[in-house]
Amino acid sequence: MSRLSRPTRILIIVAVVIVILFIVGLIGGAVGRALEIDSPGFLHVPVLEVHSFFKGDALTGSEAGPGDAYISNTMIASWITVIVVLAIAFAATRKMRIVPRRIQGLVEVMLETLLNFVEGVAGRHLGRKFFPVVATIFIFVIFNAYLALLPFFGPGIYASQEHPVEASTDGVIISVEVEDGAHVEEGQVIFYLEGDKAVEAHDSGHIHFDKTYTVGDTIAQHEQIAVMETKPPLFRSANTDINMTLALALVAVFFIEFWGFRARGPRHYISEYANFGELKAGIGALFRGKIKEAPMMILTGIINVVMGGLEALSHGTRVISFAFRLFGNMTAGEILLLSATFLIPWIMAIPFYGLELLVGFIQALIFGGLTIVWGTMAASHEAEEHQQA
Amino acid sequence: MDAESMKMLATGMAAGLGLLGPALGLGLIGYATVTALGRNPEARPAILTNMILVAALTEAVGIYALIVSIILAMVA
Repeated sequence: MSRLSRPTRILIIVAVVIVILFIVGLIGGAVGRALEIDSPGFLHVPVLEVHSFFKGDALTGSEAGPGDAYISNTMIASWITVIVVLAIAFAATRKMRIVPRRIQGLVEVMLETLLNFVEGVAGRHLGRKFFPVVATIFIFVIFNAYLALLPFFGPGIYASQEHPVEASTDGVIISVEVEDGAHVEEGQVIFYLEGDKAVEAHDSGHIHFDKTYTVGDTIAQHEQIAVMETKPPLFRSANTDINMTLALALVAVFFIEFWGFRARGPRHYISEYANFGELKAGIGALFRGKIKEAPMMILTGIINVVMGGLEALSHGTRVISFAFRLFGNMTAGEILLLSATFLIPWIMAIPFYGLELLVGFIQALIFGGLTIVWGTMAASHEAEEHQQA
Repeated sequence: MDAESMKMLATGMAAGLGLLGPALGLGLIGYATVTALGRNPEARPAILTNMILVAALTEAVGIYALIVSIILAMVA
């Protein structure tokens, strides 16, 4: 071993560590349990699941209805992102020099790359106008995506919550299906009641009964029978919350329309989508005696109106496509990582981490890039084809 | 056929059939990009920028199908 060069020795050590982690993960994870390999209890990996799907899990308050205010774990994650970005910005701008060193240099390189990208798509003048909003969107999305890959995000750190479990119907208990303290899934039956009724769990977690229920007990409807303990993660990637992506989409589309209005004047901008000019000219020609040309003009006028309406509709679908593109990519990535970690811990998730790095960067680029492209299209239709009536 | 198996069938078919279109679309985008690069290698930055843009738009449609499938699996 001492005759091998240093890089080769390091390579051998890394390979041995990976093989050991693979074997341990195989034994303790889901694959090992399916193959029924005996292993001590401390190696077992618990079930990893995504608790709530479109929104983050509520950590304070409850998410009973649309008007309820609560703090979700995705909200906390977005605060962490803001704090990290502000810390980097603060560190980069203290004692700024003309010839930058270290952190200031790094941030300058990143911002200049971003500025070149924006100006490459939008041109010099428009690029400078668009840069603040687009760079904010890009930095926010990419930091959200990358911070979510750190180990303290996700099911590792959780905030225990206890929800009361109420009986959905009343009746006499025939059989008790779960033990005290057991883990139940959503929809799993807790009690079978007389008369073909059942009390099911409405959420997944560990259930702790209020008192010991035996066969023959009567329970009333809406009586609290147990307390469900769920363990939602404390931090969860902010991009997996449809509220956040919808808010970003609304901001982006608002700014696209704003730039269009400011560059071309509201009337001129709207007239591209509510294009009644040809139709009005056609009806006017009908009344003024030019009967021969009128039908053709009216026809093209109607087509213009319909096309303009469809274009205006496509502005609205941009909001939905922005929101769901980012949300879908990030949530699919999160579920993929959780599944890979669940199957063979430590090792199987490594290639998917690489995929998540790539996907995070591309999604941020796409969000910002599409904002620039549509903003450029909205703000710079200087040359118009006017059809001579 | 009971509701549970119908739901499983719907989940699988929504994702499977829905992702055929975007996969074909992305392949066509790759074909067009490689053809364009072969004809005009000097225009590489412009071609690649537009390729990434259109590829992301197409991929988004596939993500919509995936979301429908996930909604069927988890929320329905």
